[in-house]
Amino acid sequence: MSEPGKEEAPVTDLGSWLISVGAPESITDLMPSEMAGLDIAPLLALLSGIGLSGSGLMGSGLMGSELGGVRVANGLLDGAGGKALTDEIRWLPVIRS
Amino acid sequence: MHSDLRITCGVEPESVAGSIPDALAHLIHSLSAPFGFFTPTRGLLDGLNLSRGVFSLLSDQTQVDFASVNQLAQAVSDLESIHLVLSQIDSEEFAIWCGLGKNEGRVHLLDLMGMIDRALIRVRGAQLQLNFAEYRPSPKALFRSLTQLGLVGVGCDARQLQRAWPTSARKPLSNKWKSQYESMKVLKDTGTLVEREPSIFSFEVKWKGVGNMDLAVGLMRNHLVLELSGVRRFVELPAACSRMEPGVVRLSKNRLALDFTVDESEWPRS
Repeated sequence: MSEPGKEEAPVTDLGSWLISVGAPESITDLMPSEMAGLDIAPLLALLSGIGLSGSGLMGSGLMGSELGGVRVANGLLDGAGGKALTDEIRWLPVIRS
Repeated sequence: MHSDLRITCGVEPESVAGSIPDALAHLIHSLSAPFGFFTPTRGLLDGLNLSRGVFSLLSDQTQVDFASVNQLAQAVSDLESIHLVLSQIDSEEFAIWCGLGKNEGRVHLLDLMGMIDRALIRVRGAQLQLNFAEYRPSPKALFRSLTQLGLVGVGCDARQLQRAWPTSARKPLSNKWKSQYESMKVLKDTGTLVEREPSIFSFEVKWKGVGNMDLAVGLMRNHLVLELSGVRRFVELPAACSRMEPGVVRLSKNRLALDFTVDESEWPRS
């Protein structure tokens, strides 16, 4: 819990960032401390500078973003380069005999 | 064929100790960031969670613990889902997602897929030990979990189960349940496409007792998806199926069959 009137410290390490975007807190137990404590502030600043925050990238769904001039979408593209997700499962009717 | 892996189900797992291979460290990063691992895309990656055991299966440990049979089945299912997603990704696209160079991305992608391949072979050949000291499910719930385990290709020795059970239960397993557990089989069939009548083919998969299961069946690109309460197995379809229209799935006692109809205009006979 953060104290009233006090801003939360910005996330700068990999472990805290993973938790801030929805990973279970136990994720840091699964990582070596060096990795969990890895300073990713420069990377986050870079992403933020080109309009991609970490959670923005993950939550962007099909919106996608320009990254280095290449379109990136959160999901698999279909073979024709369309935006539709192609990892969706088409469930079929089942008849028991 | 047995592997060097021993798995205990029923023991709360400790965090994975020891050094983590580079490829695995990259896996965490590449899956958690660009794929949106924790806010996954709908479909294959929905509901996956590294902390549930995928991580343990990818480690090089020879002894791995899972809290329950269901968790083990789920972890194998998740591992196979990730493998299928990776197999559908263009390596250049993957390289962009991971922030790697084109060649580096390709090598990294192949490394990951090889690693998952080996992990799947290893877990399917693992020696499984059940432990009911901390938690004992009902016979019915255990039967369901073992069915899920059979679906993902991991077998459990019924005699080992019986030996483990009385040590923590107030009463031994009934003959009815013993017989049910002994009837449980691992899904090994890779399926066969047969022509039932002109323009209608059937893709058949044999699995003992499948007709009694509450199985959901779907299609994802060139794979048949079999799902039992959230645990999935993928069976590759013959290439010919991609040019036919799928129909209904028929479940009989020891076999499931998916009908495909040929569109003559798409595929004229000579």
